[in-house]
Amino acid sequence: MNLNLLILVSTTIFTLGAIGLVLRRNLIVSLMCIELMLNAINLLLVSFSHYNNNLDGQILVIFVMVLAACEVAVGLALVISIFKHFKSLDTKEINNLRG
Amino acid sequence: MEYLILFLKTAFVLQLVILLASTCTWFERKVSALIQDRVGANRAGTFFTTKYILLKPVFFVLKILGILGIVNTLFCDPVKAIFKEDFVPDGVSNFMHSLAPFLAVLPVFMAFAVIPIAPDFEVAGYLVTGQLAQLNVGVLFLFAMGSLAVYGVVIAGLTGNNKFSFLGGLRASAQMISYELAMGVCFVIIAVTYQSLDFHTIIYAQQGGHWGIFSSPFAWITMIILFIVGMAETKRGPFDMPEAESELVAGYFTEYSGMKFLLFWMGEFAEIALFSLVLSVFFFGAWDPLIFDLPTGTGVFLNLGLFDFTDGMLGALLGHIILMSKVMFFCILQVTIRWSLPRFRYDQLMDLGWKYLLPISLVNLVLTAAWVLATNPN
Amino acid sequence: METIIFYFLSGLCIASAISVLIFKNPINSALSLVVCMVGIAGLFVLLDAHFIAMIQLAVYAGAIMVLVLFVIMLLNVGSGYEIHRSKFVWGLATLVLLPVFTYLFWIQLSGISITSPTMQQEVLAGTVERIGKLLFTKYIFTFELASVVILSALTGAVLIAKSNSKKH
Repeated sequence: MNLNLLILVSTTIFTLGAIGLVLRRNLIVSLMCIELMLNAINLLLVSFSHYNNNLDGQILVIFVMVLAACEVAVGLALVISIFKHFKSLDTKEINNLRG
Repeated sequence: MEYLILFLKTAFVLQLVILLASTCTWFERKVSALIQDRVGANRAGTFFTTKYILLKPVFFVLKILGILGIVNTLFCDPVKAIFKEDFVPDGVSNFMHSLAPFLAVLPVFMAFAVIPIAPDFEVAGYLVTGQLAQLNVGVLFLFAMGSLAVYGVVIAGLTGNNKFSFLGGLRASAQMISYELAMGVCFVIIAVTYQSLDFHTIIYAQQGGHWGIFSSPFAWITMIILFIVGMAETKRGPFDMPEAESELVAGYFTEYSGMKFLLFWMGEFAEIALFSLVLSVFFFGAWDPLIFDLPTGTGVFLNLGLFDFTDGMLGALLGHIILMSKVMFFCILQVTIRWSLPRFRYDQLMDLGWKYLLPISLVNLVLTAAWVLATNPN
Repeated sequence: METIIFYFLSGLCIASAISVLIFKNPINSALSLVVCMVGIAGLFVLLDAHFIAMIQLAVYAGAIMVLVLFVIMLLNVGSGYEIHRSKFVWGLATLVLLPVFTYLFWIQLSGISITSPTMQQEVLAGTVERIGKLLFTKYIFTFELASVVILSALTGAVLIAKSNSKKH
């Protein structure tokens, strides 16, 4: 188990999350892809904290989790109100600002 | 040798969970019968007769077990469930439908791995700890497993393809998330009191009559809150909104039959036993008998020829029996409450969780922390 | 043994991350995301971060994902297979992917390897205490700030979800 492999795993997950965020059109799936990216970052932080013998990385993970919880709460509230307004979660159909 | 001990311990703990769950099933049937002034299960196995003299004692024992209802609950019901048709509703994935009962049971069984069930003792120079895995974050592991238990319920509600199971799943997930908050605060209070998250440390700090319930003047509040939260998490008692028979048929497991239904049932009863175990470990000194000390050490108590039955082993055996009797007491208490109180309304349930239990436990946390600071000057 | 578990867990994480993207039904995506999070919690245990692993299970898998599932159930979203098909988006995705992976595989192949340092035993034993001490001394301001942020986010979420339902 060396650091390079961990970086590879975490980058793969992060990239998959980013691709999903760009490609999927369902709003809830987009939110989940953001969670995926945050998880990849958490993994990276914990592995660096382990290999540097330093706990500050793990503290950062706790703060990332707090912010993820906030993001999900607000994001889901927005998803609910968007669904009530547009009757759909497809990002293609939410185009009222398009000229 | 270490692997052999680990294997035996795993088998023992697994057996214990199943035994506790089935004992709770029996309590449920008999206590409910007592409360409703019925006799309860007393037929299966009672009317067997034989003309062979050698088989007479066997049938006599069977008759007693049958009158007590044990044959019915522990043998006939499972056999019936195994041979029942396994029904999967139309339009849902078979895999997900079968996955749900396992997801409901697995976290509960895993949570038993970190809780000690007997004092430590030595066998042939090897120290045998009374728990499967000694984690330094054991209490948090219990909390994490408690929150993972929601998934079985949610998936069961989703894959029922049925309005009743869907509503049951929604209610169950909302209820479990709401009550998890108060449970988390209670666990923080435990961590503050013992300054550890390890069950081993928590239990050994309570030995010799220093039970958790006497540890601070506010400990009984924590105990009562944890008891209520435990009953809400197991979806039992007055909190059985998700499976309210008169409103939702059977809630999230409406579409389950046979062994899958029994798995849900077993998970529920194992969770009752788990919360009873947690209560007796946190507040009632686990295996501490309060009036005398359990024997420890490697002094020979009884020579059995093949190996010496040491004082430590006797202590472990006695401690296990004492702990299990405490667990049984809380199981019977929960079953009694379930059959005595009427069901909450949904808004009352949410009010109790968010407006009463959470603020009370937060205030309790501050008070307990102040008490701990005042009594331990370091 | 540890290596085998590491490969298994990372394979599980990546496979479930891929299946988050390819499942048509959002419920299946959410469940595979839960599997991914549990796998990452397992990796945390391998990295001696027991406390973080348990928090990951309780907060991410146990609370956040249940909330997401709850909303999916509540809205009863259909399972149409929708994906952006414009060339620009695909080009962007490839553009992000290619250089990163080329770089990483080059590092992997070039043989620069950083192996695990031997951690002191007392560091492992007291991780929870040490994290608590750091949280309430060095990071106390951030900690308080995080609590303010989460409070405002929760009130905001309630406001957003409630004001809309009143209008209709």
